[in-house]
Amino acid sequence: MSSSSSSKMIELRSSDGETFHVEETVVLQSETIKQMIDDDCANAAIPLPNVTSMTLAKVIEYIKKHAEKPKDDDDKKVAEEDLKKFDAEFVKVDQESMLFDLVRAANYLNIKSLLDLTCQAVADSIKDLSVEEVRKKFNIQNDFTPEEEAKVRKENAWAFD
Amino acid sequence: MPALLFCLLCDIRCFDSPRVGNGQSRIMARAIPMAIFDMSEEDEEVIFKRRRLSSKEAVSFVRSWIVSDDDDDDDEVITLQQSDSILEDEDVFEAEAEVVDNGGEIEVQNQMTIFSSEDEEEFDNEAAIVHAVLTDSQVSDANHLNENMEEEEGKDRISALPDCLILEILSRLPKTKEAIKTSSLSKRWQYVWTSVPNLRIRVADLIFVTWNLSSQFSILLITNWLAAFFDPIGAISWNNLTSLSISRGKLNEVVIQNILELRYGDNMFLGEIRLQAKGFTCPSNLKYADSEYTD
Repeated sequence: MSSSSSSKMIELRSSDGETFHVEETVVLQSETIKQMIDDDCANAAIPLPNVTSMTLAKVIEYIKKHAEKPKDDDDKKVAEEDLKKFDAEFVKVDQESMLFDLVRAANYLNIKSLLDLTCQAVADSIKDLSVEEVRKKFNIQNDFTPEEEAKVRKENAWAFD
Repeated sequence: MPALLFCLLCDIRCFDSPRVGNGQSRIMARAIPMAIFDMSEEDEEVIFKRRRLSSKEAVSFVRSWIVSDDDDDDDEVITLQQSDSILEDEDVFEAEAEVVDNGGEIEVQNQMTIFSSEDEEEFDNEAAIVHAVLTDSQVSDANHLNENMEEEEGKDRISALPDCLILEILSRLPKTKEAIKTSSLSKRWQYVWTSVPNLRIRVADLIFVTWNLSSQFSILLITNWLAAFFDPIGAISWNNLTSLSISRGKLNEVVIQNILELRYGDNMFLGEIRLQAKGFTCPSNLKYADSEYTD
């Protein structure tokens, strides 16, 4: 039978008190949790006070998908394509705030590939926008006076053309 | 019949509680959906089935409740009645909550919002229990916030990220130029980009950088880049650089040493390094650099 069925389960508790059971092999993608397991601190539920249940559910969806192992080389190629598609869909979140929650969670849990993916998604959403459009998109309050803003732009004018 | 009704568990964050007089105060709270349950009735039992939120349901909304102080209520349980809903969604037709005041710690209990995709009114809502605890700090934080609801709705999440995470984002922009542009977003963003660890710049842009070096912030940036570039561990490739001049700035000795060593490297096309000693604070081997490599 598959080895996963015998894998040890780790219990995670979100900031709002919800518990999630995840296979140890899956959850090891988080360096933070790996450290806790290595230090033998994972016998009870691991509290994650910075991660809400909604965000944690998304993170678990991600690491589960990324823990799937292809059987042979033919499978590997298909799996890679599949994973790419999954990643692209994964960052298409309904609420922008979820993306930032994921950035924070990926950082806190130290899951490098998820941090890469989510930060790249934010960068991609910014890259073609003007300063005004970025402000509007993320509700950034412009607290410069017009004079101050002109000065900031002048300092690196070459970047603003 | 299949249920068109569902119940939403919400994370409730109080953000304002102005007094409205007559022993009443108003609590305004933002409710963030955490989980959703489909509800159905079978044999007079209400059954909840958990499922994922759809995009339409995944809204956060702001509610306000009037709190009435009931003096002869010893256990200090305050019942809240929804007085207003900002979200103009006809689907929302009921919301209730109880607030318990545990000597400073206010707890919102039994909050429940029931949605219906059609106008169905007949069911029993007693089975659903949702709770969220507002700690002291959350309440006092909330009291300090004077933003109105619209501002709360359109919260600036990106500026609230710590610098290290903003830098993670900025360093993934296709061109460093894009990162520099963020300096004019707001004061929060003015200097963050100067710590971007990588350099993604076109040669055509570089002409302007060197030309523009009198600007203090370009110096700062160049210094950071130099530190990263000439650091043997750094992973920046800058092969097309043919000219580099720095007029003022601080470089540490290791960086300068690495510049001098790479000057003789085979795989570098650096035709010219100008380091003007004036304004540099790094002493000994900088003078060396100045006399040796300035034409």
